[in-house]
Amino acid sequence: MSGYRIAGLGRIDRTRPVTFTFDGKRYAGFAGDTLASALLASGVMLFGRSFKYHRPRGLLAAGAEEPNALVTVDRGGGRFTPNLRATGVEIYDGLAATSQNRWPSLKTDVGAISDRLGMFLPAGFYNKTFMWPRSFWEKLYEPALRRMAGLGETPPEPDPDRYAATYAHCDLLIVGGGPAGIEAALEASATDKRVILLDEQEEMGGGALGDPSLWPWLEASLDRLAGTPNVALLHRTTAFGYYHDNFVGAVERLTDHLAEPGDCPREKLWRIRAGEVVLAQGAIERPLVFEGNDVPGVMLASAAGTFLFRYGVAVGRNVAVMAAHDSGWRDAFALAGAGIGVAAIVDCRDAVDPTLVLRAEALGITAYVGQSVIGVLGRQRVRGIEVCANRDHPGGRVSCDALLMAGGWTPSVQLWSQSKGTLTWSVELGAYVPGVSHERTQCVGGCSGDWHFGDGVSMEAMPTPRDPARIKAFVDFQNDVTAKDIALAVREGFRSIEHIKRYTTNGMATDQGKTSNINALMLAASALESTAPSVGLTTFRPPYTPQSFGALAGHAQDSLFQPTRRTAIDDWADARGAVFEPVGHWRRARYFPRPGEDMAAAVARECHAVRSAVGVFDASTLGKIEVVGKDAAEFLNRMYTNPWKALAPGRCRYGLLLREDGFITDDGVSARLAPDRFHLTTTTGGAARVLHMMEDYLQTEWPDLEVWLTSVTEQWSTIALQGPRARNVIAPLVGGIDLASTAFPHMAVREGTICGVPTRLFRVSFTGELGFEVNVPSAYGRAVWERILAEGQCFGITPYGTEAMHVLRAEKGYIVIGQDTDGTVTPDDAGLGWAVGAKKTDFVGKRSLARPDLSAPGRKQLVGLLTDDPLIVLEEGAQIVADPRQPVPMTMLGHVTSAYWSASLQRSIALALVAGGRDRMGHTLHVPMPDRTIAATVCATPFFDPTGSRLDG
Amino acid sequence: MDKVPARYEPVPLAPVQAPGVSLRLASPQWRYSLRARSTSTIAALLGRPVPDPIGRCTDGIARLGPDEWYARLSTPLPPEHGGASASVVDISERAVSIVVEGPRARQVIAAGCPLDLEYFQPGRATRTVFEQTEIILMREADERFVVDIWRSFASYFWALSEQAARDGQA
Repeated sequence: MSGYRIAGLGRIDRTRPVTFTFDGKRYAGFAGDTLASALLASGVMLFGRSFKYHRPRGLLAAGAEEPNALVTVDRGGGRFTPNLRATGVEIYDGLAATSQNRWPSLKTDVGAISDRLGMFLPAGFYNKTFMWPRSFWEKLYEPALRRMAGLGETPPEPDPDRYAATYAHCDLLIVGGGPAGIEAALEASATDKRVILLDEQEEMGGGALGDPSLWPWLEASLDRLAGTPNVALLHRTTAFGYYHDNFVGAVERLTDHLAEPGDCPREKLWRIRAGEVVLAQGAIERPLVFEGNDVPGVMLASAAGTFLFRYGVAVGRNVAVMAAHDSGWRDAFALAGAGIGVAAIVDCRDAVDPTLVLRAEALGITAYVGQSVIGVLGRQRVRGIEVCANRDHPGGRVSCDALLMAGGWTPSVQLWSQSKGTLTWSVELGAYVPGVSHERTQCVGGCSGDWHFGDGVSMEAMPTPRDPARIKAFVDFQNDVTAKDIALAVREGFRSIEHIKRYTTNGMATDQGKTSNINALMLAASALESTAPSVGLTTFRPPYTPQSFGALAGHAQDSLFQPTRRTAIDDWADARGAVFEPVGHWRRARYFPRPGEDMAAAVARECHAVRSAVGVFDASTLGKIEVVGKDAAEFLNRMYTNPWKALAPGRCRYGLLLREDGFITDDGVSARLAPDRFHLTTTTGGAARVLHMMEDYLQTEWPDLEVWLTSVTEQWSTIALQGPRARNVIAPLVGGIDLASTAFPHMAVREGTICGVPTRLFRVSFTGELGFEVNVPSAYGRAVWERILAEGQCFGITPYGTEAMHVLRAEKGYIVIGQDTDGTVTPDDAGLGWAVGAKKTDFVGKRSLARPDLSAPGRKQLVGLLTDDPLIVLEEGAQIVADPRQPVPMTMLGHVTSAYWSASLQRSIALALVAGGRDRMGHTLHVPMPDRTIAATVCATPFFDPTGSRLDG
Repeated sequence: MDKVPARYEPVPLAPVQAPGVSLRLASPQWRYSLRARSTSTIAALLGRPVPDPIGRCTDGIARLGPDEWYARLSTPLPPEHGGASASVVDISERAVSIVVEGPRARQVIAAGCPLDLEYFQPGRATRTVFEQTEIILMREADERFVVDIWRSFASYFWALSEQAARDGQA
């Protein structure tokens, strides 16, 4: 017989052998094995090295609570998952798993030196020890400590897998497919409720999988559920988080167990809204605290039962039991019944149920009642135990090859607690049990404290004659927290379990204290001479077990990370080699380089085309709102700073929008199409915000106004034609509109056709040149754009991007909201005082503008800035000072908001917000940079064509 | 003057066919946002009955909110509306309509839409979300949903629902 596999036991499929590797060595198992059971069957006891002391560690548990046996599975090609519990990794042919936190090998780990130095490494030692010199922390101490104390490695490559996601709704969600969960599903199957029953394992059954006497019931029950259409069963699915209103997040693992994952998504995120939730998550057996309780081969008694009866694997040939609870005796009897040698049952209680003792005698098992294990022989696996009477301390040694701990049971109340259900301390169980529910939730079975395992006592640690300060009795196996660390935390003055947790790290990392929280609490309560409920309980937060980032991201991966909004002309620009930039969710063409051109050359060429002939620009992303109703003008008059009521149909106006605090939030040119209809434009980034703000005012402040707002941003493609030849280009294409300057002046709008499709044609300019903005229904944007380009060929029409647009507008001193303003700029600060209707009785922000500090002298004002050296382009965001020789920190007057090379002016230009800027005209200020200080002179804007003579072409 | 220029659509014209579900772009339509304070105003404006319960869709007109109807029509509305206390805005080209049809259509919609589709029976219409985008969802038949989505978001919806259609086979 190879190793520890027991013939005739277990649910594994012995007709389907599976081979895999662990740390490069080949092993065999069977379909139905986990990595843990298959390695145990081959006699492997050593699974990992502990976090801090690098102590050899084996399996503690058989399920999701396993703290020690963390492995990395590397499937190649970036499919690399660290920190998987070996007890949850299903084996398949070719599985390659490796152990973690050891070097050079699991058996010989030089890091284990820290175990010898343990007395110098108490809880919190790094906070106290590695303080000086301070600069060493980030560069030396922290990286070194992180290398020494660690879990798995970070995946080195991008994750190539895809992840699915869905929403699901049900009347009843049952979390946990053990007997209690299955019973709940069977009960609901007789109703017309939509039921989802999910379980984290590959097979439903939970604890029943480790109890052959329940298998006939299990099979019959699952058959019944499979034939019930209103019950959906989800296997390999972990409910990781419980959110408001019975919203439960779960992850289904689809391919991790397959030898050939194929092209399927790896995992699926289930976002489940349930009418009612039944939590049937069971209970977790508790370890006991004594010296040597972490030697490989010391494990939970229930885990030994599961390995034997579910997987057909003996954890030892001659085991001993350390019990504080009757369930340990029963597990021992079951093992003995299956032919496993039981060397001893040690029970720390002074008296136990006599029937148990009689049964032990009948099976030939020596019982040590009123005694405790005080030491474990062996380092990389158990060779024996030291047993000692609780009183008087006579003791002896017992040979064994595994030690099973039965410390009682802890209900799995994580999700219950996340649902805001209260917890009540049960003195009888020595555990927190569910109290009053907050959502429509109930707990059934083990997680409600309802079990039939017998009685037990709760002991914070096993009695020992040895000095507690000199032994390592582990509480949290994953974080290497010992009983004396908890005692130290209390001596240091920590009183709340939340603080003790953070000081000692008890209950942190991947297992979140599933096996350690209650023992730590009992120790703390004892040290504080208090009770467990008054010391508290740490907060349970999602996820219940670690989940991959990929699953949580769901669909939001790569190109679907977030929507990239594209205009109708985007494809055209892409095909012409445009360089794009993101603007909000949009991507916009920044410039159109010709072969050999860099950005500067392309932008200079594009600007020159606009100033000398004609340029064409995709302005489709501008926000557009159609405002309709008899009170439309009244509404806009209240929203914008300037007057709107007198605007004639067919004319446009620049609108400036403030928040209630008086600061600029948006601007744009808007047109009155009819007495009751306006076409507003907003900034690209402000479209949604402005619509929301206007709706807010309309619905909450002025519901009496008869006016409605409709976003038409995407109804229209907007093609801006700018330059002295703009009119020539569109003249042959436009129908029904007189383009003559007298008939169609600057800041006017006309409706007609272009290329045979309807257009709202604006005569506006954001460049200072003669300009038109052609709005056409979006489906035709691309075709009209191409026709305009074809028509403009003879005039040298040039497509330009957002960068040239910025240069051209800056030459004219036109501001860009969010670049030249930052939410603290008033109209007057921005030099836009002219846009505020002095005679208006009200508009949004008017009252705030009357506050003294918004008109106080010395406010930052937007001004022009010309570098003394015309070749230097300032850096946007650079700070400005009056005197560069003052000591650091200097008094900063403001900052550069926009700075470009102006091809038209053959020099650099900049806009800046400068304290008292308009009073500094002609003054030289300084812009200190890392390598030099740049002198610049304050000037007025516009830089280019100050009289606006070019607007008529 | 040349002929009317070609239309441009933000998603492929070829349908996606996956087992149990297909995605396709619907033909162009006239779409209007109709706003008024009462159902009768809209009915009088259109000269035909319009649905009164919010979330109901009949003959291409859906009531989306207390003062909002959404019309998808095969012929345009007349440009003048006779001074009614209402707002009629042509949004024919603001969105495209994508038809998700087949026994697995519901599964594809549920991949990104948090509504309980069991309670969203044929004849229902609502503004909702599909992952990170806003959509108007209409259920025309048990196995046919129509998603109206703004043009710039359409490729996102298309790619995501195509992935959901193909992944669901697993």
